[in-house]
Amino acid sequence: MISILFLLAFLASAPENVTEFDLDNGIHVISRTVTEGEVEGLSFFLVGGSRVLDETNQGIEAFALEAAMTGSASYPDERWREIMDVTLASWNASYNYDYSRYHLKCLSEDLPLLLDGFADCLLEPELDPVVVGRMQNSQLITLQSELNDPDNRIWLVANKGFMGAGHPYLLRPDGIPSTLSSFDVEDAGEWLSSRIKSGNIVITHAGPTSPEMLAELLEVSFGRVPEGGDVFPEVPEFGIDRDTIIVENDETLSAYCVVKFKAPPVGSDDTAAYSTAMGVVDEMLWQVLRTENALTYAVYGGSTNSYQRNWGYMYISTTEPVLSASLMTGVFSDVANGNVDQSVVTGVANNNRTIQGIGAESMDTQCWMLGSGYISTGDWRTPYLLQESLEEMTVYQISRALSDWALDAGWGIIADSTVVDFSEFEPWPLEGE
Amino acid sequence: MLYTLILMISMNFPVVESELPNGLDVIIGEDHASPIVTVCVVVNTGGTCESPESNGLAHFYEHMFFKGNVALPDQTAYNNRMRELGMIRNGTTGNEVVRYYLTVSSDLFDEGLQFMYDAITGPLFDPSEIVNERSVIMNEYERKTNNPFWNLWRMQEEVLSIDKCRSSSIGVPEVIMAADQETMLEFQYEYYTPDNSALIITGDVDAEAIMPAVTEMFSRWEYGGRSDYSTLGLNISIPKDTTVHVGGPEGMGMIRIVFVGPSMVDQQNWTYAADVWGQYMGRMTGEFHNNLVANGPFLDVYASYYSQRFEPAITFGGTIAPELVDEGLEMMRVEVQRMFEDGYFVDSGIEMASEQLRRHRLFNEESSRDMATETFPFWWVEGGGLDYYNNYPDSLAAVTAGDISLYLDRWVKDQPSAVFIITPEGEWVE
Repeated sequence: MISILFLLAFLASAPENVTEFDLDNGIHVISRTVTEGEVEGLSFFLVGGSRVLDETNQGIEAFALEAAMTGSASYPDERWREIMDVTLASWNASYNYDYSRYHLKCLSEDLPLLLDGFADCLLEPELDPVVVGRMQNSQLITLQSELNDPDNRIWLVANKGFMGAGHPYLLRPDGIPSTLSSFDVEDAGEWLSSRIKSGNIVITHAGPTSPEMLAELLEVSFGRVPEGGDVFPEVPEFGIDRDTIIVENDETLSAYCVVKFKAPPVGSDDTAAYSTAMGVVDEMLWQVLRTENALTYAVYGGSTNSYQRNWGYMYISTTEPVLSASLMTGVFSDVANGNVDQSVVTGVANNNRTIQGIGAESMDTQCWMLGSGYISTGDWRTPYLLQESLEEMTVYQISRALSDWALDAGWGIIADSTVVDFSEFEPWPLEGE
Repeated sequence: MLYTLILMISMNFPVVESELPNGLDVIIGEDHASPIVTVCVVVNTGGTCESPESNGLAHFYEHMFFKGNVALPDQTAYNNRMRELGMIRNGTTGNEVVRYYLTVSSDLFDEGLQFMYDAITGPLFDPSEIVNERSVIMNEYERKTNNPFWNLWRMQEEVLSIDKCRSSSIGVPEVIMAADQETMLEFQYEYYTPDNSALIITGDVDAEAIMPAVTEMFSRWEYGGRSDYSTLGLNISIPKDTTVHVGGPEGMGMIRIVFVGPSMVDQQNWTYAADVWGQYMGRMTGEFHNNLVANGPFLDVYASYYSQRFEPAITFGGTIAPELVDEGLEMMRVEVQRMFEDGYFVDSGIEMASEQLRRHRLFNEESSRDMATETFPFWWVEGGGLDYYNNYPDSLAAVTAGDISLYLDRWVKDQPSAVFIITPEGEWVE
């Protein structure tokens, strides 16, 4: 028997027509009913992320899920491909520090068939070595291509100094070439058996299918998932306890520079203020680094919304990393010391309102917001309600949040030593009061 | 009468298209799913309008678009205004199209529309801002050179283009560093006129209610009649079979076989068969995929036609282990030849391909913002107006196996091709 637990439509900033319910096996489902259109979005979240990995199996979940989705007992490879041809459904996978997410986009009429196939692939995967091997080679090529691009790699360079040795977030959910190439179908099967448990799964949905119908479809498909689940260890604090810098030499015309620093966890009293502060930093980075000093094409700042541990960051690509880093810390310091106009703070809230409006048009974004909010805080409304807090934010609040949390800076730089003098690199302090 | 009004058929929301007396196409789509509105100006220009002396100026102009203008000359005040409006905005420059767009809450539509009008009609091109922007664009250029596929892009321009400067919208450093107010004004004079542009508005608006204000405001934009866009010639040519080896990322092999395709300017009748053919070939249960991927050495394959006015291309491609590229190329060539065998294209597959294209359209119309910034601008430019997009489903549904065979006989069979082989090994031309 499926129980619709409660209907939530009473908070002005949270969307209407959101329903939460549990399947009989305990899988939690959050559905936003969108009455217009024929496009459905459904996200399958497998909670755990980096916390369930170790040095030797980085990327195993990405490998196992992709392997599973090549076919199942009832939907073998060719039949599954035929269904993809007929429905033109698309699947997007992402693997991050807190969870793996598999997102389905399809038309309403195809949702029943695709949900059945989806669950069957996860529970009864075919795991044909040839098909899986092909998929594995594709994954490796994609991964290698990303690692070849300094614009992607710079984030990993910055992690080394910021996170500290042994931190689980240093483990790559999408794998590293040496681990990803070592997995086989047995590894995939074992991983799926241990991880596909109801307590590890959250499903979110946005689209025209009613919650009642969705509940029926999910009970038939994902209701087959065995009960149980993992107990996840606490995510430790990041190891950084002083300003650090990691430099990598690469023959690039443009240097890349990222700095990371601590941020409050999602759901903290400081989250809204810190998030706004980094929005203001973002605005001022553009103003100072790009508009006034023309040092870059791309500069930005922001903060993460992971489960327990978060960070703020600033990024730039530039041929003048030393001057840029110095100006970036100046921008940070201005915001942390309250030397910004209230209109910029208000502007960040205004921009965020528009961004939320844009996201409301996308079933994919809605599924992500519902799921990430629920996984991070236990309440899907959290990312929606952030807007209310943003609109009341003052310069004093944001400067205090930034100076309280962002203490030590973990810098990462990729540059060409024949172009840039590495002796000038130093871990520039953030200098809030 | 101020404008003509045409009701268009969109699958997800109603769209009206009209033309103002100054030649500006106005396209409005009502979608009340979210309280936002997106305003986009699309201009018939881009890299294809450039010469060696102006290679990069279309893109440079785009960078100057969101700068101070006659209404808001001070850059700081300009940036403040964007924040006041909570405006999310961007611009893009392609070879055949330039787009500028902004999204605001629908209660700020009037202000957003005014902002766009001021930006498109009153740029200042402040010399000091231009000097600054040279460095910004150079950094964008440098970033592109770090992309793993930079070599491939460069070689494709070299081999496929009649005039390679028309294929490279990022431009060349010499032109970027020499850009000045005069060159910006020249570009504006020639291309930034209402008769060479379209105004697209989608989202939470009432088309009938806003049309008078839109008409009143944008009718003030002065007619130009100077753009040479519609007279530009084709910029792709493959006079003889050519094979190019290109350096690529470690561990990756790729193959591309390119043929000249039908132009969206005057060969549109071929393009419906081309699109159905591409979809047919892309089916994961089709012979092309089965023979090359499921039972072959490729990791993925595709066959596609790119709808373009000046550089239309038909491409067969795939990803493969670097050590297998020679074998893969031979197998792909065999598969290309198999398309000419009787019975290769079957009705059931063609129906599926047409249905897939219909579904593509439904998925693409999920977001009104994407419609304003991606779908409508693309088809307005490439189709020479939205009639092509409007009639697209019916035209696809009429495509037969015979049409596809005729298309392949005309554009692929015995035609010269350019083959690009991407491996980590390096670069040479055969």
